[in-house]
Amino acid sequence: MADPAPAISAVPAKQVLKQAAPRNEPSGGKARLRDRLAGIALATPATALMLALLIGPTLAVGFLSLTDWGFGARSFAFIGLDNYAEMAGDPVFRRSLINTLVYVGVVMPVSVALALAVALLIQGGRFGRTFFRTAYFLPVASTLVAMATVWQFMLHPNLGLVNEMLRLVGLAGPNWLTDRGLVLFTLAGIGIWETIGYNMILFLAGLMAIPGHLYEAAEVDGAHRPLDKFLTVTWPMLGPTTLFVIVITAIRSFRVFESVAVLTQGGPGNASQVLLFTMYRESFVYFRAGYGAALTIVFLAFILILTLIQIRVIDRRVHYA
Amino acid sequence: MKRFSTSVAAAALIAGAFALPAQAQETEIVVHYAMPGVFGGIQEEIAARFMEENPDVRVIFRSPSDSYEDGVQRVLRESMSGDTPDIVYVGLNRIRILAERELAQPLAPFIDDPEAFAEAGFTDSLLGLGQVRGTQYGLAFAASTPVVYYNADLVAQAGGDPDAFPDNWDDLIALGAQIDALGDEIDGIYYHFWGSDWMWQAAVGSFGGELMDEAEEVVLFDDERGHRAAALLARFRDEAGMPAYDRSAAQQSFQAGRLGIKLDSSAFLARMEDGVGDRFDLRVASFPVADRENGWLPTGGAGIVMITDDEAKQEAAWRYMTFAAGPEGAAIVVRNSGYAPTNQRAADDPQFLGDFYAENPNHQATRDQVAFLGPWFAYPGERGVRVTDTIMSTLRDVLDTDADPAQTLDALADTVRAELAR
Repeated sequence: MADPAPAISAVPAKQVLKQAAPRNEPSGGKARLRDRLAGIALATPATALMLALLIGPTLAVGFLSLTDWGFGARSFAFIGLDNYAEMAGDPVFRRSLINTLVYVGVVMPVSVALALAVALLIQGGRFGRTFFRTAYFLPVASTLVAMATVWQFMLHPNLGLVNEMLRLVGLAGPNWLTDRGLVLFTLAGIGIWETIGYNMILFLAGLMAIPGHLYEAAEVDGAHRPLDKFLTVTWPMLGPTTLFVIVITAIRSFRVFESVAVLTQGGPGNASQVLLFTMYRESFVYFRAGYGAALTIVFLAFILILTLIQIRVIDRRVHYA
Repeated sequence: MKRFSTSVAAAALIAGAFALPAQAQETEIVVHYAMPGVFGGIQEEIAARFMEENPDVRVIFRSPSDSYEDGVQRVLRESMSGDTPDIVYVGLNRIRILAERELAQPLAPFIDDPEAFAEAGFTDSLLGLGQVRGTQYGLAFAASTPVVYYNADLVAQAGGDPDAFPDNWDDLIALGAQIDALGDEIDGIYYHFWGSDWMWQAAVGSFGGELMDEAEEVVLFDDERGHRAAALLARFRDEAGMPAYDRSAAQQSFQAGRLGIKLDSSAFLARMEDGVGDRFDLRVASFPVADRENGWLPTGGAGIVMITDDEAKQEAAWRYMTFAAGPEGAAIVVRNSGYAPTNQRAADDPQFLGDFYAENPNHQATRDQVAFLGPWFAYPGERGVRVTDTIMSTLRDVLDTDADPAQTLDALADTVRAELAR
């Protein structure tokens, strides 16, 4: 899966290259050739791995998506773009695409905003920093499959902790996981709970990297209120971190799978069907590997477009220190 | 359309030919099964007994898969790398995919004397469970049927008689409504309807309906009998106050004593008894069959399929299969699970299960239903499994929302026809 980390480190790497370049100019052709060979030799292992583990399989999936291959079948036929045409008229696919977009649309902004708030509170707090950091980070360190089972108990419509508490204050709790209008948002809530800790750690690292003298300078310039300091120093300085957090949260929530697989199986009636789960059902449960491959290609395209938009558009507005 | 062989592609991709089995004095057969939680001990016991009687065969187990679904996936994967086990246990509705992928060996050539075979307990109706379009590909190994679990304490509280539990839908639904009226936190009936269309097949079968015709060309579940089945689902919702729970929520409610009646597979009997413990008086009743003449119930459970095409191994594999599905194997299965016997001799001959049912009355319900055992229908073709999910998710509307059962069923049948015709 695309790892956005290189995109961030690419900036300093470019600068390093620019600085290193002039030193190579004066040396003779032989030395330059040797440098080039050394460069190629150094890049080969990474390139080979990328070809074998990322690009190769992606091409293979692209190839499969043009066939009618059934999982484990002994033969296949090329059917051109039929799989993609079928997708266009497939209500389950449409449903899972919309659901995924809604899920990302909820989880991404909420978990980024809440994580930033939590990070600011912990950073500015006087006591219990380690405790809160650990508490918020715990969901990240635990296995989601196991945690989903815990959520299942908590959200039980009749015996669950959540509805028991609601009953104490005289409210009738809903069926969190079987109400068609609600289930996707319940899953999004679990997604947010799972993501906040990770984003918070990234924000905390970003906050610590802001030099103290900037705040002093802002103070001198008349930014006395915390909100002023936040808007003039913290927020702009957190730009690169925020960009990274947004991209990685979007990609992570696009990949939502475990909670759906454990808690709802896409139900009731496809109300919580999401892309990855549909992909899995088609390929390995319905044994329609060709169609599953086509879904994978669409999924990859979405991730790619999403990442490109965010890098291109937001990158221009981000202030790198 | 031009078709290409995947074996060529697979050979290029995968460095095939894993460890060729060494020639040994004894024949080794490699066996794979799913659901170790249910079958682990059973499989070990059967293999040990078999090897005692057949010292020339060694049974080797591959690490089992968690579910039938995982098991089939794994066999299909292994078939691409040429490393399949010799025998696999699969869900009865997944024998079809192994036959369609040409992995399952037809078993007719091994049955030399059909009469003697029937004598050994492999009756026609039991053999039917392992057939795909009339060809024998598997032997039934464990059969579960839909049953009615009930909380006898709640039934008594609601004014019912736990010893004379309803045997028809009207009385069952009325009793469910009475239990539902006991309190806000008590639910009446839950009709298990998650994961597969098995319980839908049970509802259709109860009214004597069919899913498709013999030739598997015409969808039939939207005829008058199918409509009665769909109407039944709506009655659970409207009259008996069935809650919109998922499977585990319903299970937890039932075990906590807050759900009166739960219709589900007999396969969970042992686990249900463990989960309930002494909390209340758990009992099991037969699944109501409305049409006593043409009614049938889908049989869940596992079948044994032969994969190996090596003649020497096939001979040993066949001996093992007929042992595991034979009276001795079937008795081991029944004693250690909630499954019904899949061998007529095991059921009839008191030397195998004589005292078992007297001591375990909750197992009696599924045994009483053996006369109604029908196949676990799998839809044909590449879209067969997908269609099952479409049926599931569409009919859930009847249980959870105020969807009209007749309209929903008609629209569903049209969708299924279109899908199967593609």
